[in-house]
Amino acid sequence: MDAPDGLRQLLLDLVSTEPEVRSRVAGLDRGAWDALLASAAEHRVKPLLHRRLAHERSDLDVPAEVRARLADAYLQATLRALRIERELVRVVRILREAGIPCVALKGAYLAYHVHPEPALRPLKDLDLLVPADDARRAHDVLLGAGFGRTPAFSGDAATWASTLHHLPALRPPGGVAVELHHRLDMPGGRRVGDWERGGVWSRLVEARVAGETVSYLSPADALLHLIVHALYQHRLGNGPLTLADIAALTRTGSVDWTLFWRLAAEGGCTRACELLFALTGYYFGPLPVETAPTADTLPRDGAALLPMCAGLIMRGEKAATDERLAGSLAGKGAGGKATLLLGKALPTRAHLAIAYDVDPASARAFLYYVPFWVRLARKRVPELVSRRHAATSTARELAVLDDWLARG
Amino acid sequence: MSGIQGDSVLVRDPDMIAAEMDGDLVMMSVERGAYFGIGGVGTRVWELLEQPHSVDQLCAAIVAEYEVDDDVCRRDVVEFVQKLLDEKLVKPA
Repeated sequence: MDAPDGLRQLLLDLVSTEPEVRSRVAGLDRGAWDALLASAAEHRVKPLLHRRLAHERSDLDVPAEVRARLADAYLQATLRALRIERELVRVVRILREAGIPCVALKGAYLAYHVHPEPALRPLKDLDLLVPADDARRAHDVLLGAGFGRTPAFSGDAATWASTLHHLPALRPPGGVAVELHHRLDMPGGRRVGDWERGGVWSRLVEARVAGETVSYLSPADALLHLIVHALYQHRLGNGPLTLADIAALTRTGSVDWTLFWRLAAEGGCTRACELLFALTGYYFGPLPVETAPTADTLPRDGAALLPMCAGLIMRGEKAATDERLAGSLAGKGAGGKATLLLGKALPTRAHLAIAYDVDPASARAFLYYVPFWVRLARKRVPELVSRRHAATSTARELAVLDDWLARG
Repeated sequence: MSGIQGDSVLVRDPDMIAAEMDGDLVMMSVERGAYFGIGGVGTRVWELLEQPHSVDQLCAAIVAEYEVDDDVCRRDVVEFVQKLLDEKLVKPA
C-alpha cells in the first residue's frame, strides 16, 4: 500500500537538511514508521535517511529498531555499491578490449565521485554511453562475454536501437543490469545541438578505478543530463535522490557554469534548471550555482510550484506511466478517448518488437498481440482503474508544470 | 616476504576498490570479489599507501598526526601492513 501523502512529504523532509521535522517525527507510531521505511526503500533513500538520522538529525526521537534497520540498509548498500563498481570495471575492460569507448552515466558517476559515500546513491543498474555506430557491436560483445537478456527487456535489439535511446539491458550471471545508451536522450522533442554533434565526447573526465580508466560526462553535462532526465523523462517521478544528486553535484565546485547554461539554453530547458535548483535549495540549503534563482527569487510564479513539485517527486515511478495515459485522456470526448484507447490496445509491430523478441518486419509479430492483451487485461487495466483518480490529479499538475515551463 | 623492515616500500594493489562507510573503509578485490574492512588509523595508512611509502614513512606520518608513542606505532603499523600483505591488498613497490 502506498504511504499517505503526509508521510511521503515527511520522508522528503527527513532526507533533506532544511525542513523542521521534530514534532512530526515525535508523533509516529510503529505502523507509520513501517510505511515510511517502505517508502524510503521504494525511493532508494534508506542509506541517506540513516545518514541524516546519524548526523544532521541525530537528535530526533527515533525508535532504536528503526535506526537498526536503517544501519543495516546502509551496510548492505555499501557492500552492493562495491559489487556494482566491480561490475563497472569489468564491463569497461571488456568494451575497451573490443575497441569500444564508453562513458559511465548517472549513478555510476554520482555514487563514486560525487556523493561523500557510494552507499548514499544506490544504483539500480549501470548506464553506459557508447558511440552510436558501436552500440549494436557493444551489445553483441557483452552477449559474447556471457551477459544475458533480462525478462523485462526481451524485445528485438534492432528495434530498440532505432526507436529508443538505449538497447535492451543485459545482465552478467548474478550481476547488475547494464544499459547501453547510444545517445543522451532529450525527451519531449528537445535537442541540444552540442550533444547531437557529439560534444560530450570532447569534454569527458576520467578516473582510475582498480587499474582501469573509466570515463564520465563532464560535471556540466552530467548535471544537465540529470535535470532533463528527471524532469522530462521521469516527470519528477524518480524520487528525492534527484535533489540529493543535484545538491551533491553542484557542491563539488567542478561545474563549468558558462557551459552549463549555454547547453541548457540550447535545449530550451533553462527554466527547468532554474526550477530544480530552487527546489533543491529549498530542501538542501543554498547551492553554489551561478546565476540561478532560489525558492524566494524564482520568477514568474515559479515559487508557487515548488510544493506541487515536491509532491510529484514523492509519488513514485509506477504512477508516472498511468499519468501519461490520464493526461492524454483528459479533455477528450467519448470518441477521442475510444480512439486513444483503441490505439493503446492495438500497438504497432515496432512497439510489439520492443516488448517481445520478434522481428517487427515479420508477420509473426502480430501473434504477439495475444500475450500483449493478456498482460493488458490481467495487469495494466486493473492498475489503471485503481489509480485513475490519483493519475488524473497528477496529470493536471503536470499540465500546470508544463505550462509554466513553456512560458519563456 | 620474509619480514617487514623499516625501509620496506609498499603500495596498494591497484585491483582494490574501496568505499567509505561512517569513517571506516570497506574494500573489495575486483579480481577475487572478496570484501575487506579497515577502521581507525588503518584508514589513514591505506590512504597513504595510494602512493608508495616505506614503513618508516608511514610511522612518521602516523606519529605526526595522532597521539601515539613511536614504538607502539611501529609495532602496530608493521602488524597492520603484514596483514595487508598477507591478504594481497598491498604489494612491494
